[in-house]
Amino acid sequence: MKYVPPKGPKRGVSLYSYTDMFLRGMCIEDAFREMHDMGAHGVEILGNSHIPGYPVLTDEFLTEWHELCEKYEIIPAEYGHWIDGRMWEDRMLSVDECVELLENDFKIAHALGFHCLRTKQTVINGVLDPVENWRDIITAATPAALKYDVIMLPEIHGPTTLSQKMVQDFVEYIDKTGTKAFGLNIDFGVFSTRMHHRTGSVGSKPEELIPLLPYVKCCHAKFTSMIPSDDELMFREEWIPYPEVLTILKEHGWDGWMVAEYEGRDRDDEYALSEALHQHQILMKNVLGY
Amino acid sequence: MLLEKDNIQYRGFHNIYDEQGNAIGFEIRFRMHYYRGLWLSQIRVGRVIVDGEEFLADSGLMTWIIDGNEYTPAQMKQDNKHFWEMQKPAIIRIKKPGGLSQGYHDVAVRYSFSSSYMPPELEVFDDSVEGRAMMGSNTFKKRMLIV
Repeated sequence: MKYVPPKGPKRGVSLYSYTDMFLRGMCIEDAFREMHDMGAHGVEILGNSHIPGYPVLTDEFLTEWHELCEKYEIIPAEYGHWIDGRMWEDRMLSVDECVELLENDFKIAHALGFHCLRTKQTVINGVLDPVENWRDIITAATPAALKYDVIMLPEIHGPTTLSQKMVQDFVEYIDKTGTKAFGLNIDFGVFSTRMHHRTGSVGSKPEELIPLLPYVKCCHAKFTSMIPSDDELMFREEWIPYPEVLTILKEHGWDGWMVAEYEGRDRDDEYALSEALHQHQILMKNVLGY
Repeated sequence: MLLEKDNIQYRGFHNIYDEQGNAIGFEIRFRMHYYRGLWLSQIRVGRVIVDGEEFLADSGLMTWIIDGNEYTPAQMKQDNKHFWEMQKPAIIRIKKPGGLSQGYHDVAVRYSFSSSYMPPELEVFDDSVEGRAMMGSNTFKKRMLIV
């Protein structure tokens, strides 16, 4: 029976979680095998990390990618990429240079079957506000994004909070332009109850997510520390209120992928990494019921 | 391909020779510690230190070989078309007449990179000092034998 993704919040994995293993030679099939074990069907890859030959997409990789997705019932959920505005030591990238880089990623993402892109912008300060001309860059890249049927999603990531002006600016831009090429990615780390080491602040309340849901196209299911729980959920994330966040997503009819991003200190240990990924998927499965 | 957990790879550390068989330098095989590949212009090349002897990035003694192409650090700064992939270790080639002597050597590599989505104030790099770079240490060290 072919896998058909259900409507609603869906479980996936970002291959970012496997960073330390990739650095030592792990391949995509290794990750897909484990995702299949866990019933986590959506994948996020990072263009700059997981595509051999990047920034070129080779025919060989393209063929292999589609074969592996078919074999392990994996759906391309999100493609991560960057606007490396400070790639030159002595000056910022121009708008045209940004668009050229973006368009190459749009092409690759589209060929690999991705619609959602986690687009990292160049930031200017410690609370991660983007460059002042971000609207110009996004607007200039929009025709290409529409051509390749992709949507750029800046990731709202701690220590940014959901009430920060940046988030409102993004929402206003979407409302004002009516764009189909720009939305939001929410990293669940924004709900962390642990004080941030740089800013000394704590995260947003889960209910602050509700008014943003129409703009959210993909989520990063960030986790750093899984702990046992005596109830039917079996596990909890130590700092992030997963049951509350996932219940909001489900009850408000949000439809999209939540790709797991593990940032535990022990992720360079193969066993610890697999165990944490499994615990996290069990928690999400027990909250969602699927 | 299996890569080692340390950034400096034991496999790939050796002297290099000219056609007459004279050692003219050595090579260090080095994989990145970051979670994504880098455009060459993003890389901030620092010094290599072997047993206290320093080889500076702009000394004319150092090149980096990335995906089969050899670059001086100055060329890397000007190149945003080529890319250093996560799973393709760079080879750092150092000119040193006579190469390294048989036995143990304390090898250190310093480098950093720009990362535009991080706060700019974290983006510091000073290769004259150990550990002054974004994302933690800029110094990678290993004690290795050469044959």
